[in-house]
Amino acid sequence: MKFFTAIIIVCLPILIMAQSAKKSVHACFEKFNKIQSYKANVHLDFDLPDINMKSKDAKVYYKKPNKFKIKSDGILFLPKQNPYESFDLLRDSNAYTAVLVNAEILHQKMCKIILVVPIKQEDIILCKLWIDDQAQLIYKMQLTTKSNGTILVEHYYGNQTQYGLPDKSIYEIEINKFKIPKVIALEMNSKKNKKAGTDEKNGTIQMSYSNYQINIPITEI
Amino acid sequence: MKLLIFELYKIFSKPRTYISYGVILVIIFLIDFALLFSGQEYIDFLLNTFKDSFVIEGNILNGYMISYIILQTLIIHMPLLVALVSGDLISGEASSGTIKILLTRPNTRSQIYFTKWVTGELYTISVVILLGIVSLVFGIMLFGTGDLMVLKSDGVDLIQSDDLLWRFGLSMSLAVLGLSVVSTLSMMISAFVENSITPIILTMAIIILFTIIGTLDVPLFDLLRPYLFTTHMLVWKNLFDQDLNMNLIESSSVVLLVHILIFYSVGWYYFRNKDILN
Repeated sequence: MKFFTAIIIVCLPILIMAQSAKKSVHACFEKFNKIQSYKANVHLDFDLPDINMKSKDAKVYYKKPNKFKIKSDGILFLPKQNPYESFDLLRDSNAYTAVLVNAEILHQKMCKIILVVPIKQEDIILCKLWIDDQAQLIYKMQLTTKSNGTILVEHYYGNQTQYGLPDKSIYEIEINKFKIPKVIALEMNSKKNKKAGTDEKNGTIQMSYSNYQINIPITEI
Repeated sequence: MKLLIFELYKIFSKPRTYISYGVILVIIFLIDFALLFSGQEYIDFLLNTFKDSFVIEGNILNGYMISYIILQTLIIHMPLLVALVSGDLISGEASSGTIKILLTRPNTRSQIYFTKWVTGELYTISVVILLGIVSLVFGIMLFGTGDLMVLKSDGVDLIQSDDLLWRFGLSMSLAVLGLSVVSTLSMMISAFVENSITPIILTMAIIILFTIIGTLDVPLFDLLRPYLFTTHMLVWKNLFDQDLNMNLIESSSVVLLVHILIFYSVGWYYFRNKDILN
């Protein structure tokens, strides 16, 4: 009897914490779930190693459940992961386990760090969320998928907090060092670059959103 | 002016003059059609490194990129096409025996040398313009427009489409400048010899030698490299850098101009005093 009581005493807080973590995650999802579609202008700033390009303006389109597209006149380097891919997992609160692992002050807000692990085998392996429980907003997300590796996104909020839409998102991406033979690049007379460098580097793509139009018909995607 | 028209008539009445135009058109069409059918595989292979990190949106394989690939490929081989005509400008007269008749005309030797040099330059310009315009127009017709992705051995520069036409124009001008060095060199050699083949072969031999010196990563060659015209001939490519290094472009242009001046002066001096009676 004592043994069972001890187990209950140990497990109960964990169970309560898991439920509380799940509740926080679900509250954020429910806030975003009010959006059927949206359209916005986006200004992209790139800070990517080995890629030298200027900032670009584009349009971003979203349609429930997870259709997302950024359209521009020219060439764009975009993160491989769809930012709403994680919502496929978060939609069903029985499909994942949420564990509160820590807390951290982020953007002057106390954020819970919650690990979301899918119960079934999915493309998403792990999702780490930094959630401001009071505002029900995800300030940071680290998504690890089988197909596209790991991506880290940090969100900054402004006018659209009621829908959980950020004013600015910064994507941090791991990039392999770009190399093609000099013969293919036809750099016959150029001197060898003697700078030593690692084969993997990190780069960022900053997306600044403006002029959100929410719950309007979207035909672009 | 009459002399210039006469010289132009002479070079355009020789079949070898049209070899360059024919070769350029054939290569442009070949590359365009090859990339039309298998260009995506080529791009996928080149951008394989980014495959794991990014989705690249937009028309990468557009007319500007095709034109840039063609320019890169062909401009390396253009010296031969230019030397084929300019190497024959004086030695061709000597081998056919018309040099004596030419020099009995009232024009001075300096005027004749200058006119022949201008003729060679006009031919060089026409070759570059043909290459630039046909590759650009045909490329845009088949592949459309878009930003230019410049693939380098250690990175990628992305230049926006509205920032491209002036770069193409100026790069053509720099390509003309680089090829003018070749044209002036082969004409200078042409003034020294009595047959057409020697200037062409000697010009190409010099270019190959200088290119090898420029390519080999040997410390001794580091001292020579800045003075070789072959190092500066590819300066046109710097116009397709996102951040333009105008100092490099200007200094390379000056080096090329100095080479033209030296080759012209040596050729002109020798031609002015050349004994045509033996």
